[in-house]
Amino acid sequence: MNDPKPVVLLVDDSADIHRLVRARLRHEHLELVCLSSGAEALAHVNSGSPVATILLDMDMPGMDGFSVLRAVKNNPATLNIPVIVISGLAETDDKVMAFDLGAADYVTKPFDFNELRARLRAALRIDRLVRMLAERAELDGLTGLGNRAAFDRRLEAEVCEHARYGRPLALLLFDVDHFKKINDSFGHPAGDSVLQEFAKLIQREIRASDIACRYGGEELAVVLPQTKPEEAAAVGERIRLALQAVRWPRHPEHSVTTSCGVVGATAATSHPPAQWLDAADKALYQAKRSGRNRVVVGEFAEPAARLAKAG
Amino acid sequence: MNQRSGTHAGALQSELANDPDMADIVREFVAELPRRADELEESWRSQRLDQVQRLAHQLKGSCGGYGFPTIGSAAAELESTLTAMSSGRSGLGSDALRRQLSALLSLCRSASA
Repeated sequence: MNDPKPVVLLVDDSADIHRLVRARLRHEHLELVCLSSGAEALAHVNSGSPVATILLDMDMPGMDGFSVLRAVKNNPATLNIPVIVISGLAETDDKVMAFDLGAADYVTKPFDFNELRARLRAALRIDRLVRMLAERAELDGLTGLGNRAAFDRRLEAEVCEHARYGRPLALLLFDVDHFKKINDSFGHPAGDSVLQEFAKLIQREIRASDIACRYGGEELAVVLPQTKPEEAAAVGERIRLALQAVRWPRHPEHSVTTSCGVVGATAATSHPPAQWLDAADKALYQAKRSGRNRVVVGEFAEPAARLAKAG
Repeated sequence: MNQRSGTHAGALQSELANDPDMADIVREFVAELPRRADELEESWRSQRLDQVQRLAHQLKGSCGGYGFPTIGSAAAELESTLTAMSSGRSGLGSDALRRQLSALLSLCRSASA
């Protein structure tokens, strides 16, 4: 894989320091972004663009480094970014305070650049490790898709975007039909390979921006941003047909099918993630009850009058 | 040792003048120094001591990195005197302050790449 250069943020009010650090880090494998104030630094990290390490000056006019450090470490989205404090303040109290606020390291000005480079490389190693662990913690070991934790986080994020900007959003929930029978008749390795193949097939049929996860045992879910319900239903149908067409080496005479529940909204709604799941789950149940191997588009649970009509 | 034609006697030369990674930005930095000295002097004349302190602080942080540790130390001395004064711990009078300032000014003005 082509390793993109990690982004290092330098936050210092002095343009002299910007030029100096840029020249001294010229040969390092990193992209340096120089910012002049604490406010700019927070705007940058909070925009969500990836930052691998922050070099943070403590003594700046306006918002000082301690306030920036506190804000970065108090935000769950940014608290893992290693912060190396760079400061002319060499007092022990300042160092203790910086470390207690969550600084990864502390270097004093004027710099010894061999030392700064070494400390920066150490911080970047830690950042890479933390990222790797965070990714693995959200991966399903069997299918390679996102796991339940990943699904919950991504669904929540996409539902927020949908509610805020009114972008279309859809959710597909798949459940392999008679999965227990596959396990019982052909063994658990056969069941495992059904899930693995199904996961691969789903990834082939969806866009890079869609999010496929293993929701539960034999349930796989796909979050489809910017997708209308009817488009999502068409994706679900493609996946259903593709699974049905697979010939299985372990049981060539026995094809595997899936039921699928779809829910979606074209204009902004205020349904929380739990209601999205509930609606998709009800549609999936409907698909199961009406004979399996089909896609059913569901609706959000709404006031009692509407529900009674459906009965 | 780094004497070149054109640098007048007593000129303060950057320790990094021959560092290929640094030469360009050292030249740029040196070209800016006299203006900074003027700014320092001007702030001092109009008694804006917080501004003097700020400028001294910046020189302290950057001069060492550009190969002028002596200017950096002079700036550090001036800054710490001003910090002591503003927190009421002043052990030094304004004479000492003036001496430290003029030492810093003349060092800034004698720098060469």
